[in-house]
Amino acid sequence: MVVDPSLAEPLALFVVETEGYARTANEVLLALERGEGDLAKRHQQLARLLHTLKGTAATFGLTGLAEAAHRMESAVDMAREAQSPLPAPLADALLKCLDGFVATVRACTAGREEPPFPPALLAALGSSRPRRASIPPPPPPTPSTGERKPAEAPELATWPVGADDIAGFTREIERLRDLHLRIDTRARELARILDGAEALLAAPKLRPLRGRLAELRSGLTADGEETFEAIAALENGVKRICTLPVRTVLDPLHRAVRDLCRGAGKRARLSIVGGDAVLDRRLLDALRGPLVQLVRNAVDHGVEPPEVRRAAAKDPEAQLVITVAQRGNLVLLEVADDGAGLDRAALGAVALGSGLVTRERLDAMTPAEIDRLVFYPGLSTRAEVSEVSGRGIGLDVVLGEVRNLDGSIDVATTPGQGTRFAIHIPMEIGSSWLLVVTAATGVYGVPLAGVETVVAARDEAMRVGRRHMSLEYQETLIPILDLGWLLGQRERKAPAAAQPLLIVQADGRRIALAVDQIVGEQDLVVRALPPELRALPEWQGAATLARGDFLLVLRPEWMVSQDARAEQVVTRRVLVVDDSVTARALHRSVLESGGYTVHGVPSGEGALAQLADAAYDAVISDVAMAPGELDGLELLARIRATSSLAHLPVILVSVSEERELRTRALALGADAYLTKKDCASGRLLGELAAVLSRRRAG
Amino acid sequence: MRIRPRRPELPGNDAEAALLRTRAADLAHGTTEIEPEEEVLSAAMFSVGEEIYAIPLEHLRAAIPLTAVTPIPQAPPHVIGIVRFRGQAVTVLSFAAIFGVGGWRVDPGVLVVLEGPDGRLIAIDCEHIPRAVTLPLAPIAMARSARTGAVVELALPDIGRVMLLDDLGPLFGAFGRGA
Repeated sequence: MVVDPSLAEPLALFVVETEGYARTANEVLLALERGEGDLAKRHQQLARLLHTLKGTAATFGLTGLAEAAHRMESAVDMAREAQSPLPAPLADALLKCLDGFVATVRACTAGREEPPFPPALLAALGSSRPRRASIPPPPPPTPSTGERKPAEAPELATWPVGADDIAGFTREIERLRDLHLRIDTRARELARILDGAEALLAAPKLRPLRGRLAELRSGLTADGEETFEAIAALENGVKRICTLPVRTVLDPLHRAVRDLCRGAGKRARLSIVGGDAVLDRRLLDALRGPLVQLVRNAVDHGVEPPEVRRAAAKDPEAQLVITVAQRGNLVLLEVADDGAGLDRAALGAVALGSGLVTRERLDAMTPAEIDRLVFYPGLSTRAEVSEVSGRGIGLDVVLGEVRNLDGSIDVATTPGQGTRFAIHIPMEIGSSWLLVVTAATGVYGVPLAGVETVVAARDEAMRVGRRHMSLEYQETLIPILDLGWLLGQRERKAPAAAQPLLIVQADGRRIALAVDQIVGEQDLVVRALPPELRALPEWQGAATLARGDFLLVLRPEWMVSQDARAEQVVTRRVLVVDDSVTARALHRSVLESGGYTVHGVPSGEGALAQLADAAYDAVISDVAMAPGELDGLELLARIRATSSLAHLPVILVSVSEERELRTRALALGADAYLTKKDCASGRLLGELAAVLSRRRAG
Repeated sequence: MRIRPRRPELPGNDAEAALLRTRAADLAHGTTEIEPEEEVLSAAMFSVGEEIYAIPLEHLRAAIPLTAVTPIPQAPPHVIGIVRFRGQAVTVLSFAAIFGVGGWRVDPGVLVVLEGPDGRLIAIDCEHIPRAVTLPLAPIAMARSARTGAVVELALPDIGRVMLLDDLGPLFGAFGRGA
């Protein structure tokens, strides 16, 4: 029968619905086959699902599919009446029929003939339908505990949402965020104006106006807060739409394990730990294939036949465990089995025989390197090709797909005891708890998942040497690293008494990270940096703060890897003082090209603080600074008035070409005065070299 | 909460309004210097120190005040930081650092957001809001045939020496190297 051409859009929705119903039906069938849970309820659930599929197919005029659903309903009648588990052959046939139902629905096209439902599947359904005598008796009822069961929640209607819709919602949320920022800015501007005009508005005639303006300010502030709440609610809503519990991808693996074991004459039970973790749907879709392959690999290669397991004093039923954990913006998925483990000798022999490695190379390989041979394409220890394995294709595809997600995969094995594959994948969507800290002039986020604890620096617990600093922590010594130094913003310095030290742990290593201040904890959405900056190893991403500012988020794995960072070759250090971020970047670019180590601060006060802590060879300072801050001339005067800094070379730089300003600067003790126009690369470096040279000679 | 579509913000004073009206009229009626049949390239022109640069207008997405740039410690020196633009993080580059331009008249206070061929956005710093100009195509075509890099050097009668950034490749491919 031809599908009505006008039903194209509803048909697309039917495909999505059918896939959802079939997934649920799969789970119910597996539970009924195992005889798990409340069988009466499971049968009722299955009957409802099949009935819905039948009815909807009929609505579309898909008579073949409606008939197939009807036959499935009939097949389970007997077991449903008896409220008993499903025999394995019947469960097999029903599962295959469900697969066929989904495939046929997907193949339907509006305006074309309905594709035929595979008759072989219906035939198998008929032949596997048990006679009444072979239906196992229902399990004995469990005594009532007297507890009242909660009423079943009614099923809610669902609406499918496309990727374009999500992109549209996200754009609108960002527009709202910008709107909120504008409201916030205007409210603060109004508050500033009112405060500034307080004296004027105090006049009795203007009191009503003052009152009205104050009301406006309160109203604007309240509108800003309400907008912020609405944005947070919308963002949570989009996050709920875009993410799914990992369980949605993992639960169907129960079916895969069951089918593989039946085909191979093995027994295995799959357990899932952390299945309630919520991940981006796109990531889940991408992980589906690798997880199926790892599970198939575990059953086919790892799990031994029951008799072999019994002989090894193992439970004849193998255990497969999939574990999901989230660490900041990284998700960890582990697939572990308690089977035979990797056969290293066989792996090595195959690699040698295929020319992948030489004898010398193989002999030099560590066990971990031999284990990683499983990821090489074309490598298989199977003598024969089967439906499941033997072509050596599976694990190299897994490796490739994981790498496409910017992830990594490791393997660990113990002969005779089992194998574990661990996948690490970065996530784009998802919020993380961050510890917000300050260091030098910056504010940064440290994933709380990577922070073991926070301690206050105590002299008696620290060991400070010429090149290294260590903290005595839990009866071991761990390196102390200053965050400002790690980020190239100041020289390494020993923590002051009571300075906060974050015990950061990652990859099995720990450091004590010295920060200036702990601001607090926040749950924020961390997004990857722009593509151009993603290769920077220091940064996991950036979170958006309430005012729209970015909070850079550090990568714990990078921080702990810096514990062995060699002391840098000493170069001459220059402190650049300029309130313009672009000017500081330009100066840095020029000075680093001349081989100088450059630290930048945005204010005169910041410069004085930096100079109190570390030695610099020269200071280059802008003359004009932000209103209310020390300008370059005042900074110069303070430097010259400080005995320890009196002879520090200082070059002043300004956009102004006024001769008087130049004269004043030189009279105050500036070693040189340049206009920014003059700051061509050669001129600045030349001037600095000349100043340093004069100082040395003097 | 009702969200109204954004409207262009009106100038705050009569002088600015008059200037905008004049400019609008000029654009509507065209300039008198270019012959009607002469092909032109619309470009955004700005100065960096003593030099004048121009970028084809088709790549320009916005000119915004340089506020709230978040510096990225340990990034290459030509990376000033990231800025929020229409809800996304956009990399801000130092134009002078990338092109080796020496000296500047005022600290750059404007960010010009550019879109590359694959839809990627980056921002460059400018001393002032670029001016929209039309450049005659004939000298550009001649200069292109002789050029060796991304910049085409033009000598224009009313303007003088203009460096036309004909190829945005160096900006979008600026990572991993400095000036």
